[in-house]
Amino acid sequence: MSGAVISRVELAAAHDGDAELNVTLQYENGGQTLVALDEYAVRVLMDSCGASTPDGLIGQGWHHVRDALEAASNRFVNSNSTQQ
Amino acid sequence: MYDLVIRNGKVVDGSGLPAFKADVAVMGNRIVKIGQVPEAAREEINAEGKIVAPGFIDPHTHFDAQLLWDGCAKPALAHGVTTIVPGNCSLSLAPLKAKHRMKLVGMFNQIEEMPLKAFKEGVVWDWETFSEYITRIRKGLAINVAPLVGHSVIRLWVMNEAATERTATDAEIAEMQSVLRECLDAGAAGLSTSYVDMDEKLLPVPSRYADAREVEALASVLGEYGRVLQIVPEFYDSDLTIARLDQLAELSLKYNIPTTFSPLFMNADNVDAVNRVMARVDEQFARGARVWPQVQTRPIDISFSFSVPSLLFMRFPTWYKIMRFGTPDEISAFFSDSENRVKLIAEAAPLQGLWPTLVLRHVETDANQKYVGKTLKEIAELRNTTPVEAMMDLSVEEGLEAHFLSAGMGHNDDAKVAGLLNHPRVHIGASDGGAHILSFSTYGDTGYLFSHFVRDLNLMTVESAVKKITSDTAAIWGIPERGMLKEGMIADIAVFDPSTIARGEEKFVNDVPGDGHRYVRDSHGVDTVIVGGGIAWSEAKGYQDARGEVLPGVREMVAA
Repeated sequence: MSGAVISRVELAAAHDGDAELNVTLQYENGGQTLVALDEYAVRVLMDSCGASTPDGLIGQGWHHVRDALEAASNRFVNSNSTQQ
Repeated sequence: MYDLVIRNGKVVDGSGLPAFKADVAVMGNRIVKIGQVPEAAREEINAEGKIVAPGFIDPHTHFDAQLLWDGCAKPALAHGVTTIVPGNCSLSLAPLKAKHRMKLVGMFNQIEEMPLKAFKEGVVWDWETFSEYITRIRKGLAINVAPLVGHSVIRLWVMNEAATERTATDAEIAEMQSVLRECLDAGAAGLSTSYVDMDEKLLPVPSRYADAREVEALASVLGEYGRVLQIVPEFYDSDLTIARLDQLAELSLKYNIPTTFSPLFMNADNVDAVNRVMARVDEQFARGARVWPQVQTRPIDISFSFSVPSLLFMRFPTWYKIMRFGTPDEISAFFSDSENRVKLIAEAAPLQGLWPTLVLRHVETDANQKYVGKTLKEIAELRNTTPVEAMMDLSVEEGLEAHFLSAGMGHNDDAKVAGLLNHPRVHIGASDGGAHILSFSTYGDTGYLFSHFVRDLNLMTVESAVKKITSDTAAIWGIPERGMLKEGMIADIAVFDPSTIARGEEKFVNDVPGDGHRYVRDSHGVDTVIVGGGIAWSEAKGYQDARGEVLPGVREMVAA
């Protein structure tokens, strides 16, 4: 799949005092954007990319980040529907 | 005879102009003279060597619940803060129907980490409307309060359970507009909304189900009053943040309202992203919009225990793997195994620079209380071991409930943060006072501004720092008659020693209703805090007069 790829990953401190991972996506035209991922999303992303370290994420496609964010968001929906 | 005279101080009046020596005289609740004051007063303060400034205004707090049992918003007042803005991030405690109380308590617990027991034992639920809530908190108020009303609670009031299920109908939106008008008439300083927060079921808060026409309809009501819209944008994504900023700008221009968004952090790896956001802020201000980013002064600390996986260890596969997938017993066993320890110690070698700053902040057992507040390097020396082994040993001894803090891990590039704080279109705020009380202290950001950026680093002048947190804030929020030291203004005043002011050490105290705890910081170097002409707090006598008011009454200003 063409499009933006992960060009940089950095550990960062989140608003609430947890650690998070800042992922920089670089577009084909050179533009960049930054997405911060929580621990759950990072785990999904690393599994999805087959990465064992953060640096293994470099070069992976943007859709992995999209799917990780979606999974991180849906984990709450799924856990609630399971409880019901 | 005056009621109060502050003598011999250096006046930093909030305008940003250079400080000057003068006395300040107060009659009733107003400043009546600044200059040489030979006349006597019923009460006098000797401010020799100190700065006399307008009281500080904190525009992003969550003191909504605390104000029900503590009209001083302790310890904010003692830090020189004379006005607070609670009700941020779409959450306020009114308007609130009785049947929704526990849901809102759940949201406050989830988002702001306010313990359920504090609500149970510290709150008498004797209000439903915003007006009734204001009446309730006015009793014993020692600090001024400019309360926002939360979009989520307005939605809940009008739509009940459907507030977290769907967009609103035209009739529901019209009713929300009416409710917002009632709140603004009762004293709300504006409306807050959120695009990121989660409720007690870890589902989006009600405000996140609103479509653009609902937000615009509410903004149009704010336009009738000239009051503020505060939002939490999708701050984890710079493109989304910029998109929200553009949305805010359109509302600001169309309805002539000030808007503000928070948080905005400057980390080493997001400089480009912040620069992009600020470039768009500049563009929108150039168009005439008001879209104020709020930036906090304090750096961000990372806290962790081995009972919850933390990305802090993700560069160390063995650590992260056991932390991520191990049960508590498995993690303890892993840490206790000598072969594993060799591997873990070797892998953690790159963390050498961390040990002198990594602090043990909480333990469960009495035996280890003596180590709380010490760095792992210090603890290791006391226990005759290495820091990394001390961390593992303490974790095992505490059933993984040894909590550690790594200070200043984010928002910590002083030069770049100072660049933001000095920026003419940045609003200093985002303290979150009264929230996250079991995770870290949200008090003393003003002390940190003066001690760190003004005194230690010399990256701001004291005049510009005072202006940023007084007259600028009052102007942005439309708070009349406060934020400057001028004859005729309300006497909200902070007297502090510029050579010693600081935020104080973080400490864990037991002062929350229901035998609850929280992290706080005592003020340092603040001498006296005056609210409405009365001494609300002094270093010598502690908390005293209670003359706080509910602000701002901007409607009268607009009408005038």
